[in-house]
Amino acid sequence: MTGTTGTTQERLRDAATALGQTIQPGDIPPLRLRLPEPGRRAVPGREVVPGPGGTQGPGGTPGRRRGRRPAPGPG
Amino acid sequence: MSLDLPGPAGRVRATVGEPAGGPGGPGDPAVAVTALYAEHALGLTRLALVMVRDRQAAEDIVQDAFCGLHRLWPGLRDKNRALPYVRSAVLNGCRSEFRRQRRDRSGRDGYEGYLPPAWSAESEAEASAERREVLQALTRLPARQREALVLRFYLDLSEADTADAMRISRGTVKSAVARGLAALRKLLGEQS
Repeated sequence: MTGTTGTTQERLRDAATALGQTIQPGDIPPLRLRLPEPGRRAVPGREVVPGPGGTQGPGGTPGRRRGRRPAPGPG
Repeated sequence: MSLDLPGPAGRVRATVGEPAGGPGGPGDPAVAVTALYAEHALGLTRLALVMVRDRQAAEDIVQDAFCGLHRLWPGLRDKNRALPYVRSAVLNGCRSEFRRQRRDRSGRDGYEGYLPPAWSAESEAEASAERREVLQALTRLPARQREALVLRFYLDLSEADTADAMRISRGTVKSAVARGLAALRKLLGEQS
C-alpha cells in the first residue's frame, strides 16, 4: 500500500472514531425485547400479520389460504 | 419481566414480556441475548451511527437486530454465530435506513446527496471540517464499498470477518476495499 492509501485509511479511522465516540456507554438504551402477542407470529419489520383469509397477493388480490384443500363437493 | 445485567454503562436493564424457556436461567434466550447486547451494543451502535449518521436511527437498528436474534435464538445451533448474525442484521438495517433517508430527502427537494447531521449541535462545533469532509465522502460511496471500508478500518475486522458480516466472499471484500479507498481518495482530493 502507498503512503497516501495509509493516509486515507487513517483519516477515515479518525473521522469514524470521533463520530462513534459521541455515543458513550451510558447513552446505550436498555434492550427492549418485543415478544409476539399470543396467536401472532413475529415478522421482522412487519407489524401486520395476515388475517384468517390468507395473505394478499401482488396488486392487492387476495391470496389463497394455505394448508387447506377445498371440501369435496356433494356427490 | 426485567433483567439487570452488567453492560457498558455498568448495569443494563432488559425488559421482556414472557421469557421463553426457563425464565432467568442460562438457557433463557432473553438472558443470553441481553448479555450479548450488553457486550456489543455500544460498538454496534457506533458502527450504525457511522453508517447512517443518525443517532436515533442507529439505536433503533441495533435494537431491531437484537430482537431478531432473540426470535432466532432457539433455532440457532451454533451460538458462536450470534455476533456475526447480529452484525449482518445491523448492516442490513443501515442499508434500509440509508435508502430511506435518501428517498425522503430526494422526494422533498431533489437533492440526492442528503446527509443527516452526524453530530449534535454542541459537538458539531468541535468536529473538524476535515472529519466532516471524510464522512461526507464516505456516504457518497456505493453501499458495499462504504461497508467494507468501515468494517475493515473502523472496526478493524479481518477480511474473513468482514466477508462474514457482509455475506460476500473475501475476494469481493478485497476489491470493495481497494475500489472504496481509491474512490475516497479521489473524493478527498488526495494524490494517488
